[in-house]
Amino acid sequence: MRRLAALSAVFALASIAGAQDPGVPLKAFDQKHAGNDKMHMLAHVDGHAGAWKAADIELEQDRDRPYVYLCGFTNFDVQIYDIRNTAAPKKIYEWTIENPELHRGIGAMDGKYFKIGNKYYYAQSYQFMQGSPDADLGAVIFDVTGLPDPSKVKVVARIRYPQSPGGFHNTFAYKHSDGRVLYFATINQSKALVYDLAKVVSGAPESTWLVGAVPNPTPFKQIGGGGYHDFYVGYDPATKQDKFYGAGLGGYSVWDVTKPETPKQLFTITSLGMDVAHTFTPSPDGRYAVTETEYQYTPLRIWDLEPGQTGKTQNIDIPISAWTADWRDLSHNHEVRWPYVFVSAYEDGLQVFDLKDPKNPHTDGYWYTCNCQHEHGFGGTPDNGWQSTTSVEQGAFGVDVRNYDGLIVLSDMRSGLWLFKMDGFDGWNGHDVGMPNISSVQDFDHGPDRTVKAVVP
Amino acid sequence: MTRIDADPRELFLAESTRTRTRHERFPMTGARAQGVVPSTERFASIRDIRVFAGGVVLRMAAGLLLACSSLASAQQKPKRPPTKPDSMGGMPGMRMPAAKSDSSKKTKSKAAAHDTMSMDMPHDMPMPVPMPKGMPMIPGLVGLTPPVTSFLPGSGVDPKRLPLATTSRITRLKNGDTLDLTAQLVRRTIKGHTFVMYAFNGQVPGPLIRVPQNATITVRFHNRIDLPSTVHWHGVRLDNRFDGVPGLTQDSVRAGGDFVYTVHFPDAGIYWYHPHVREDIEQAMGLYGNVLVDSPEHDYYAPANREQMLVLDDLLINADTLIPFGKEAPDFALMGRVGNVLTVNGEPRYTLRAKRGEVVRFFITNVSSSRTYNLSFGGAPTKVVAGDVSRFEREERVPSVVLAPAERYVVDVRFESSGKYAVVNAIQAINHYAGEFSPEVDTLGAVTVDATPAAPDYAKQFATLRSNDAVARDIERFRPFFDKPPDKTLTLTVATNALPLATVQFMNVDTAYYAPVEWVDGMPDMNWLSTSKQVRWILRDEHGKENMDIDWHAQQGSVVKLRIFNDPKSFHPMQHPIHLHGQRMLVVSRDGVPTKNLVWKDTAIIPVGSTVDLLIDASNPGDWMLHCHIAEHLGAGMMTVLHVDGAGGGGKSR
Amino acid sequence: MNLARSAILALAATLLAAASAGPFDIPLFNTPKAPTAQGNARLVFAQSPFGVAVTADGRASYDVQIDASGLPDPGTLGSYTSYVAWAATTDLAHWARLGVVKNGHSVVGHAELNKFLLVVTAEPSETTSVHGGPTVLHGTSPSGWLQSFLSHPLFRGIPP
Repeated sequence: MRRLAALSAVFALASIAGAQDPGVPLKAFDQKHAGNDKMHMLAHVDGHAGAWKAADIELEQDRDRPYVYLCGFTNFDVQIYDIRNTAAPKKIYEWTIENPELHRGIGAMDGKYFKIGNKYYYAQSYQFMQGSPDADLGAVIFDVTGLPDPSKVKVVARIRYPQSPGGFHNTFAYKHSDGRVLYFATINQSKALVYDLAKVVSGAPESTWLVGAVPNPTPFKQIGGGGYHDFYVGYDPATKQDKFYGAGLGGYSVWDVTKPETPKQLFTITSLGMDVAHTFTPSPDGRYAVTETEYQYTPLRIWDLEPGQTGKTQNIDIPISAWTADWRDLSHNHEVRWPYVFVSAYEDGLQVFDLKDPKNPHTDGYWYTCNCQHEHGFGGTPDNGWQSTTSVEQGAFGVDVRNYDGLIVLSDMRSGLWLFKMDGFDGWNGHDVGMPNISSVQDFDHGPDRTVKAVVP
Repeated sequence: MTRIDADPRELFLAESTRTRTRHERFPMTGARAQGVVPSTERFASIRDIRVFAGGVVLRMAAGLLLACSSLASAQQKPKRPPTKPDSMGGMPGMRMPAAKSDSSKKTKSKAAAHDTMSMDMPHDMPMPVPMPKGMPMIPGLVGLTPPVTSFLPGSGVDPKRLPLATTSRITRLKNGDTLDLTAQLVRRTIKGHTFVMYAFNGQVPGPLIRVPQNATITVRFHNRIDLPSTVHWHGVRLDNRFDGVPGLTQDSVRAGGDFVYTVHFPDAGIYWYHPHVREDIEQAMGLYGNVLVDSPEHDYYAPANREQMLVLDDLLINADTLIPFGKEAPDFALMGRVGNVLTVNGEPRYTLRAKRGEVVRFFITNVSSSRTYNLSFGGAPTKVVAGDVSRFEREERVPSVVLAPAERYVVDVRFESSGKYAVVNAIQAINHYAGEFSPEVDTLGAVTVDATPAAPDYAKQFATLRSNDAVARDIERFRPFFDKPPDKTLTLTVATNALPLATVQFMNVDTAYYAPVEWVDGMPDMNWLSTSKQVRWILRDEHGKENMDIDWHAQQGSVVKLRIFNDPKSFHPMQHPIHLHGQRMLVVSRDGVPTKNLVWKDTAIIPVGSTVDLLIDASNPGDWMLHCHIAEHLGAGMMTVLHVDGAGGGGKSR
Repeated sequence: MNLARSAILALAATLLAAASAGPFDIPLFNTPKAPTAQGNARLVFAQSPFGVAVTADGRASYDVQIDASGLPDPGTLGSYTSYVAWAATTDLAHWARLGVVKNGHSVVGHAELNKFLLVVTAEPSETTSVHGGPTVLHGTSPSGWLQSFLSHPLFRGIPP
């Protein structure tokens, strides 16, 4: 009976009425242009010709490194923009896989920058199909220390994983509490790979690069399938643990990766409707989390992780609230800068809601970037340009936030690169809101919450 | 030049085979190949192994998913065995004899039960089918059994009372001679385990019948096995009455019965004989043998130092037991029974000693139920000289020899240097779960060449690729018909009913690529669980008629063009070796490309997606079967009849 | 579960539709270097006395029939005089020359790779044995569409 009630609650919370912010009017699809008064569009760059322009986006955080990395998706390239002038982003570098016309796949998907010592790097993940060249290529690593001089950008390594063709869909570069910079990567198997990036960029033997793997514990693990789709890795100062928050087939799981060679499962989040768990981002203190499941009509769910974090339960199956921009659509990735959640919401562009009251999320700002026909999203075949119908997977793909000044960047599959500022958000530091200063932004010099002294490897 | 008559004892190296090491096939892993394959052979790449290993668990993923929705698995649960007398399905007019009082049961001994799996097996004793190494059964199929009663030869018979099978011996016959040919139960020891199987005259392969061209012999067939049977003279353009097809040219010969065949051999070449009743059992269990018809021309073939017969077969064995057959209907109906122990001349390992430079002529026959071979001789130069029913227009150098079930080829091989030449079957398997090709090499034996030079030295003759003008002239008469429109079109396809849900769903998902030839059984669990009760293989003509409903007539003396298309969109596209009784045919084109070097055939492989044009010399009156020679496909209905109507109205239906 | 099953079937249908009209067909795609070029290729077994042409280790041996149109004069692309077809392994490590391609029907061969990319490039000479010029047409062998079940959306979530 308890389970039935729980399931009913899940459905109720995921219902239209529960997630749709009553304060934001539901717009007709052909009316989704521009945004609200709080959101200010600074710049828009198309980036590529053709129907599909971008996948994910990555923003450097240092004040003297105003660089944005735009993943080229099916264009198979990566572009680096200098956004010193936020009103006029300038493309300063572009790199494409060799023989691009012979490759087949969704291409350049996710990018992460990282720093080791005094050098800066950028890792571009790739996904090519079996039968295509580079089907085993996961990521290309660039030394970008010399930016803005493009001639100093060099490819220093390529990470390949031939055991699982299809590359890396999502990645996370993490400054571990032990001082290492680790690279977590999804593959088409029921685990996430963990690489030591210092070994990768230093030219160490390839056999030393991979240091661990985090299994996906959901039921499909037993049959070998069910990979992760995305994850977040963050430090928990309360428990002094490095934690991995993974979203994959079957649901979500949280792991202690303080020793990434031997991850330990802490708890899971799974219930009906979690089969295609997609994104999982906790609050800085790990108390709450925002999750996305990748199918139309599903809202973002907000969870109270306390029972799991404190060991009271092995599995959490009831969210505490939900949010959606438009119940007819689907959100995608998100960044948490507590209490704000910045969402790249596909057809609904950039959406920002706040979780001051986690049980009552409230939309703060938005800007429509897709300007596209409803339900004509990504799909089809490589040879018809991935055109398809009846898919809402189009529009805003990735979002990132610059902590020191609150700049928001967004990548849109249909329209390219966008830069925004939102009223009332001029930067973020967790301490300012009574939280640990922990987000997806890494302190590569000092480690999470300054646990590590600056280390020059 | 005088042709060398081979020492009869050397055609089958009976003595040496008993001392050699047996080799078991370990499918699907290159690592296995590294352990047993001589250095002359290729190895699978490490990547192939890794990719395969990674893909294995995903097989389970698909299976479990399908299992979750596999409510229909209940359909495959054992049912109560039928109470009516058994009928042996697959052939027209066949019925099992009524059960005997079975005094043989009194002879059953503990030893019999211990040594063999010769008993009819109840449904509730599933015997898992051997899977490729490292590949588990699809979870949704675990525990299921084919919906047939299990059958193995010699139920209730004490194996110790059976003779041990011997290797084949040559039986030279001349015109007018009579041969007693007895199908009997025997013991065979393979891989150290003893099985009850069948043999002609106690020999496996059966006696090599060697006759001169145009001879007519009498064969008194004695059926002393526990199933009805007949003898079909494969490839021989003989009198239709003696073609050996029950329900068409004769009644099946009951267990204990006899039949007399009069067999005339109009064509020189290599032929074979085998039952035409439940071939999936009888042929698989050892009832096969060759006929070598010698041309009166002393230089019919180029000179060779020696002749050897190679009869290729495979057995499906799980540890120490034969995988049973379906009593009421063939199992492995989807792909046919593909064995995991390959044999040459009935033994798992073939050995031959030769001299340096020796030219050896191999007469090769594929008697497997389903397997197609790609045979080579360790890189030794090889040329093909003849096929099923004739020599080629021109001898041709080949890297290997491809034989579908029932095909024969004659090849000359010259062992130029001393050393060891591995006789291998090398193919490219497909790992559907990893989406990769996986090379497989099975070593069937070896030819050890010593330093002693062969005498005479036929290097020059071997290097010359002979043109056989007589063949070319013969074929020339038919060239005006090469471009005629087809007289008959057949599409090869399949219909299924009530297969396990997991099988159906998996087959629906796995549609990315259809290999033109399926060399191995990549999904033996699905294959095993399919019987001819659920699978109907189809020859469909241009009028939509199927199998035995097709009404196909030709006048004696006419030249019939048959176009066969192997539909790649069928539920289980795979190659089919199509065999026509009693006539000879030319493969004049494949996919619109004319064949440049012709040979008369009686069996032609039709790869997936291919359109093959056959030109039939319909010179022999009577009712002649045309069917797929994969035994289980034949058992699942893939057959029809060409009625060649003679001047006196010879073609008839029974 | 229905969603996952639909995803599997959708991907299977996608792959099958995209792969070819038949099991031996290779649709050819142009590149920005030759935007007017069009083509289709068909694999037929090379001549073999056995009807099925394979190498000694069992790889199929195909002649490749290429029907091309819209190929520009190679000289307009640079110092090139001809178009040459190649079969390349999918990692692009090995390129096997197949033969010369012109507008119209060409038959080149033999392609003897399990999975390969069929690539037509402009080259400075008809007889060149090393590819170096720009790609004008390309396609994937039907076998190149063979996918691991790891790649099915069921097992990794629906892209992106």
